[in-house]
Amino acid sequence: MTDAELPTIAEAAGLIASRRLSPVELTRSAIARIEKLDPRLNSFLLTRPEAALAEAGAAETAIARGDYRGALHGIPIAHKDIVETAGIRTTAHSKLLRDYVPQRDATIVRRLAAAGAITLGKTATHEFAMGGPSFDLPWPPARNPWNTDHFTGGSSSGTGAAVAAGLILGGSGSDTGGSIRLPAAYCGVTGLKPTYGRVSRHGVLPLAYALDHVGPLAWTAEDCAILLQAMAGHDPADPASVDTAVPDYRAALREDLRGVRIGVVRHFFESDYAIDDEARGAIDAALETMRGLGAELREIRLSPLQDYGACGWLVLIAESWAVHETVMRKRFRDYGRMMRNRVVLGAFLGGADYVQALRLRRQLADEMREAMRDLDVLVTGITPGEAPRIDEKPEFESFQRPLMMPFNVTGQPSMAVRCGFSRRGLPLSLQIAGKPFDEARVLHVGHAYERATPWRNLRPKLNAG
Amino acid sequence: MNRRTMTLDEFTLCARRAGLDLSAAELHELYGEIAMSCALMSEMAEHVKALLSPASEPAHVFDADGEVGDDRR
Repeated sequence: MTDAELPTIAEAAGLIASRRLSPVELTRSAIARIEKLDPRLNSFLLTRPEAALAEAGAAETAIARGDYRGALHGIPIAHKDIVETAGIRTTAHSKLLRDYVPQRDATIVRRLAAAGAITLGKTATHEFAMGGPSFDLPWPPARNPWNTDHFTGGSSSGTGAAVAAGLILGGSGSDTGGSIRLPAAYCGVTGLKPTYGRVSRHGVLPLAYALDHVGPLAWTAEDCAILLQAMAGHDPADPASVDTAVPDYRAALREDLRGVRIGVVRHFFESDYAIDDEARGAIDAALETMRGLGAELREIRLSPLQDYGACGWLVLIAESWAVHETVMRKRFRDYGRMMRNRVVLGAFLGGADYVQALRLRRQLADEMREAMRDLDVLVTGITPGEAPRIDEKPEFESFQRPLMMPFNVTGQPSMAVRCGFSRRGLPLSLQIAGKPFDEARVLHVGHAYERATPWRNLRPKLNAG
Repeated sequence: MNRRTMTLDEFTLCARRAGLDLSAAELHELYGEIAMSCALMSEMAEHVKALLSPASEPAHVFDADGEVGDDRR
């Protein structure tokens, strides 16, 4: 399958349902692309081609006898390698788990398999989903398909790269401080962090209990809607899982934005954390497109980004230390440098600092709810600009990605959507955030914008390594 | 901005209390790598405290500057 022929999940589903595309052919094509292109991208830590082809064959047989399960039946996907997969190595991209083979599937793995999706393999991540890129781990970091000298963003780095390069049609990620949305933004795909508690985290290795979210990355908002439909729903095995009805996300997608009220949080990306001119210009153009589709736009003010950042990072660092404390005390040197130097900061925090951060979190969430009372979604910036070079090293841990942290703090859904390209041909993106459990609206706005713009038609040009 | 970083001794004490099984040399190296980040975390903690609304504070207002009373007088 050539770049021009790469289907979205929605397109492939239509072809599979009408028997014009074979799941075996689709999976074989994905395997061939992985073998040809992934040596340059390092997006996969593990592939299972024989098993995937067997699953694709079973899907084809089932569909032929009329047992079609829906849009994900026969679709090749992959899982971030912090998502446990029964009988399939799950490493968290860490020396500490290099031989770990779980006995159970994470709930999202089970649900996506039940929907008929084919698991092609496990994708690269930052070590334990905390900070990268790292070059001192058993496997190299993933590289950006638009320019392999550049960073993918993380920590769902492998999934972002693999979707952008057309190696898979969609995949799973996790997001504690931006880790679905950042690789989606830098790799130019669509990535949705759902509402806290919308998607089960059972079987997903934790980073910070109060901030971890699990969600999909795919080429389009429609594809994210299809993936989310299978992933979402109450799970008694996850104590944070919320028992609230799952709507039909795909049915909510429209191509106009008539009546949609958009709050533009301009101070986030113009003064609190000024993004570059290219990124700002792309967002302004996108907002005009949304206005042209019928949306009503107005600027709103929230607390400064620094407030959300301080709150979120204190919670994240304290909780990640709680997760890793026992092992890190004894095996500090077995962790990669970037990961351990972040997590160990939690050892120097006081319990009172953590408590105060949780109290501020409630205040910020209350403020957000009030600010969105007469709005449907917010639109704001997501990255300072294009993806940086992969070898750019910060002087010290300065806790970046402030534009994404507000929506981990408040727990509301937020999605990265491509809105243009930099002069160097790297993707630029924006962020759409919604009210709690209103993923349908977020997906609708992203879908309408994508359909009205040409960005989805452009794929990275990759040659074999 | 005057960002106050811990001294190496303070850092070592905290690290030992946290149970980190590292040699003195390793702690010295780690100090060099993360002392600024620790200072930044402390700044964040102070920033958070400053933002908490007075109405959310305990009903009993503690006078931080008051004298210690001597009930035996």
